[in-house]
Amino acid sequence: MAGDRGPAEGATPGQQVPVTVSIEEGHDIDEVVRKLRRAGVEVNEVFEPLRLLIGRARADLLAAVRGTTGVAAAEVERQYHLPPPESDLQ
Amino acid sequence: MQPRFRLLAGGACSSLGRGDAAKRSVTIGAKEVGIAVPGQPFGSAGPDPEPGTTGRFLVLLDQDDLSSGTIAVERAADVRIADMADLPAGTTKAPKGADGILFPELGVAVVDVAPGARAGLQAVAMENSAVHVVEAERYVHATALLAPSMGQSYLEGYRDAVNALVNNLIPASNGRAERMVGERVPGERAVLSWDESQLAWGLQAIGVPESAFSGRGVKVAILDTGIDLGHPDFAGRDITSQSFIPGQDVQDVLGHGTHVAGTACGRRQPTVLPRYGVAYNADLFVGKVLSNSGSGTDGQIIAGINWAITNGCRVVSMSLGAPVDVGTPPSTVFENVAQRALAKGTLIIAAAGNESSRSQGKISPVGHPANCPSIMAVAAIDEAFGIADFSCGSRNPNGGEVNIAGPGVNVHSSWPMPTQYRRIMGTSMATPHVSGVAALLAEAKPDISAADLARLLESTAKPLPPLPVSDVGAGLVQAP
Repeated sequence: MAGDRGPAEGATPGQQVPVTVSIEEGHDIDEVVRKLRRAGVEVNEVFEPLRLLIGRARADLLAAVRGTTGVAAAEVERQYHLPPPESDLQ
Repeated sequence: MQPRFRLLAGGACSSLGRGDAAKRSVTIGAKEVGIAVPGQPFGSAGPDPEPGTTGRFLVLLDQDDLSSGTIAVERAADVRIADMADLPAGTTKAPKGADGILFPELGVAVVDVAPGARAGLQAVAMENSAVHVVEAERYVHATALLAPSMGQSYLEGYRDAVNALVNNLIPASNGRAERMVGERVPGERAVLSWDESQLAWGLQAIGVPESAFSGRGVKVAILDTGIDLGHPDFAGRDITSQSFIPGQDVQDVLGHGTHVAGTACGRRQPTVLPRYGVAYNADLFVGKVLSNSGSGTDGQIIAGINWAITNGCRVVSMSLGAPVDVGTPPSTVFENVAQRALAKGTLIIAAAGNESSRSQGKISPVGHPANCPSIMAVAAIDEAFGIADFSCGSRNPNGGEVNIAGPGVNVHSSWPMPTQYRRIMGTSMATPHVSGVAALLAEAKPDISAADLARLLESTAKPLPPLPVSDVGAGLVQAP
């Protein structure tokens, strides 16, 4: 296994980056999703059992996303890369 | 965030070995190693003056129902157990009039049991849901040979005696030369010779051959590169699969996922020996979250976790990760995911990471997402019970600790056809050993919560002195 820190590093302020957003307990998921959409977040999928959504947002709007009522955390997606299959270390 | 699985790091107990009748310990250099020698006592050859058990028993109780478990043990074994909360700090022996001590924070009672009552004590663990595990307490002599008065010649003489005995007990397979216990090839790490004609060494090391469990009725999710559905060892197996990689089916073209799935859930009788799978009767769920080029994203992994939870998987095995720096906190998003998984009965087990180069003095921190407090982080050990050179360590707090270790070097398992089998190494290989054992424990304790399943994995692991807890957590995972 191996990986890197994801596409966030080096993103320009206006660049769209993939994000994961965790929604706090006690808040209506649909309502939080509506707020985030109004704030410019492109919501691709909502995982209700996990109270989590994945989507895309402008890098310079991440602070606003994190400050949205009902948002527990918002993170830029990381990427994972396995070593080449011929490697003995996996 | 509070670490969820830090209750039992093995410190309060001497050792929780498995299969005592068939396994004894020898000390090679600085390491205590268990060698499985079916039907043959082995300890008598060593210098250990008091091999075997102490006569006391360790009883792991349900943390949420300590009082019922304690009463059940008292009745079953006709003993009286004192509560450590009522005793002076530092007490290690039962007070007068009592036969044992309950350590409420650990959920463990240490009890002296008369020989005639031991069967009753073992039975109560099977019958009473408030009593999880009963183990004979064992002596640990890991440092016995490290005394300054014992020189190298003594150690070498002892090693030679062990080698001779092992060679007498284990016939060489196919006439090939076996490497000696503790033999070092120049430039290589210490090696320990295992007879793998029937069973991969990792399965022997974690007590799978002695286990009465197979993971029957337990759903295990492997989130990885998919699986080779055409592999003869998975033919006829009822596999539920789903790809989370757009445009790619679940068929594994890289091999990583097929290898990992094989270790966790490979069949009991593979097409070609040795057996390499732990939970051979588990219901196998394969989620492809890493692409045919070996890449994936947080979102794809989360989608896989969500699928596993929705399907009622009790174990999610993730041999994947991304490196983090010293000082990097765990992901709040993944910690929330893992806590919600636990609440729904699903335990996530993840690889600690391969970024260390210990031989060059570099120990890298446990990677993401294994560094979340509510995700079990798995380190890798080698065949001589040493920490693997690449295995990440506990460099960060708040979840960045290693929880447990599994066999992760020279691991034989399935590989996409036509290769069929391959030996590779990594914490990716150690992780499915732990996931497979989690399935065995979940079968043994069907009503246990996911958080208690994690605690049970840790409390039944075998400490690996002198390896530090920061490298191997509670120690080497052990099958029930």
